[in-house]
Amino acid sequence: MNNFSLMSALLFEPRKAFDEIAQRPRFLFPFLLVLVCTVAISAWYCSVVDVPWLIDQSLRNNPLTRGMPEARIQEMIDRSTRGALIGQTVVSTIIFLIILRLLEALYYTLAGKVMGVDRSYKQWFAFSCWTGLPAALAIVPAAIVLAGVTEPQIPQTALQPLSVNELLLHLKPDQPGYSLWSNLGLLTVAGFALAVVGVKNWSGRSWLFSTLFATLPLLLIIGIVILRS
Amino acid sequence: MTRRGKIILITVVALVLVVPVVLKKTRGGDAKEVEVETVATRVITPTILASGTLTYQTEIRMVSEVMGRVKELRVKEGDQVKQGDLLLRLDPAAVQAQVDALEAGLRQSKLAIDRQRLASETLETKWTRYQKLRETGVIDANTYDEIRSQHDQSKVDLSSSLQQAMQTEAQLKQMREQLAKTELRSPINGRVTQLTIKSGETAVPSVTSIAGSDLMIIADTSNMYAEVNVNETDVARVVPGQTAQIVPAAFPDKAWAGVVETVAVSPRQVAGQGKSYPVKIRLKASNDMQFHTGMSCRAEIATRAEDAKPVIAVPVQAIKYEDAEERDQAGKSSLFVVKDGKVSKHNVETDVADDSYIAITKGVAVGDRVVTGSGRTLRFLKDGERVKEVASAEKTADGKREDEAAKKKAAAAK
Repeated sequence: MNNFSLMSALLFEPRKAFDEIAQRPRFLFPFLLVLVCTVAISAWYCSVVDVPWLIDQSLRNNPLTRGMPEARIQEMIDRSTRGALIGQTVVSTIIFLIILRLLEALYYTLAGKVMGVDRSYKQWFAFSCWTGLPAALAIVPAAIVLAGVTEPQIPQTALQPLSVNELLLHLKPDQPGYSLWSNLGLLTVAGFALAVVGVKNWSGRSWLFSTLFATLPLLLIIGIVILRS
Repeated sequence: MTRRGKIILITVVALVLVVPVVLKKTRGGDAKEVEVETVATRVITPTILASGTLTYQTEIRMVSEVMGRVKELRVKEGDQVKQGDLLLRLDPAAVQAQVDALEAGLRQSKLAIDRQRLASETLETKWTRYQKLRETGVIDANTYDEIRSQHDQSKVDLSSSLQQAMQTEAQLKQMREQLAKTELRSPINGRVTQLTIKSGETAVPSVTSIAGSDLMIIADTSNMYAEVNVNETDVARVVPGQTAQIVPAAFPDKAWAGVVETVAVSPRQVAGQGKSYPVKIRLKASNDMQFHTGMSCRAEIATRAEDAKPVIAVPVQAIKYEDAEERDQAGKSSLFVVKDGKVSKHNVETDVADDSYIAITKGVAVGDRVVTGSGRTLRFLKDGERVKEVASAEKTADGKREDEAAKKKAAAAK
């Protein structure tokens, strides 16, 4: 089964797809596809956004820099350039995605050993990359948003119209949980749904077990955010 | 999965991806929250800022004209004194001794004069008699000349003694004055604002400020002033009679009302700084604050003309300034006017301004709603953006913010 067949199988015949991933664990295609889509959207966003506005927003909404003096904010705005912003965003996106996949695979490996779902790190890494594939679909709504931009002051979260925050909560940047709910949406749920199916397929255990196994880190993060807010 | 099922699934996924975006697009973006104020006419009161010190109208630095140890100090700092009150007494012993010596010398001189006057009168009689004897040839010329010489000499001696006595008298008078100066008396009604000498210390007469030369400062505390230095570029706009607000360093949130009384004709130049003109501002009495002479203060002098008329004005924070594209061109000023939930950028021409408002000569009309904040929103606001008005401190009819008016009311109630 080639990569495109496997991608199609994930949508229409997930069990078959996960059998294939277990037998021939490969990750380059889904990883690069998500990476290219995410980097492309990020670079596009940075090339149209009002850079001083974006930096002002980022500094004021970040809890670490919220109390920064006006003069210092202005200094940082004056120093910023669009080229530097694009460069920083692309590099940080690549690093973030690599670390995310490595950590996710590490979690699956360790959890699998504890819970008796014994698979290699390579298999879990491939599992992580393929189940993260729905994130590549984020390019579609983001591209529609960016293509229809009339004024350049676009919040980053506007690129994720399928997020819980955009769809339901409508939290302001200074409200607790804004960051989490802006990054968690239908595509994330789709990714985790795939992971649940995959875990059930690989472990042969119940849906409850599979759901808990696949979503435990996410549930922990959500729990912490809710408790802190 | 059947082909039909696949098509349905793909369609559902596509709809899930596209529909929320389309819905959001049709709904439009979030309107920015802005503070808005209605344009009105008001009298602009431009102010000039200057700094200086608090002072009394009359401050007299008391120095001693004679040298002596302070024997008795009759006042302490802060005491109220009346003109002629004894402030301190220097030890008069040395000067008194000189007075006594001169008095004795004068008495001796007077005795010598009496003695010489008697001798002179005797010689006068003797000479008159010898004149007759010489005419009859009873005595020779030598004897006559000798008597005449003695007579003339006695007159000169008498005259010399008289002069000597006058000299001693003058010295005595001078020394008595010195003696009087060992008692220092207040030249005015006022208060001892500074006392630098202590009992037992030695007062030294000196025109320069050395240890012991300055004794105390007596100030007329009935009139309080702020003496501020107005920059030479602003001084032309300052004239006597203008009102001012004086904020002392110790009471940064309070202010004295004052009136400009004098503007110096000649400037004062501090090395390394520009020229400035001292301006004296008479302060109105206030029970809220204690006056401390010499305290640093800041003055805001209102330079509004008496016949100033209301003009179209907007809050200063509503104006956005942009640098000119060419060096020889003036910068642009603009503001945002809210209409039908959207802002439109208006280029404006500005005129005089005060702390809160700036006059607009062109670009807006009375009744327009202009965006005044927040600063952050205003900074990135763009022409045509949708906005939502939020509550802000509205203005009262006399142009003062309600919260300021409330503060003043509370202060008055206290």
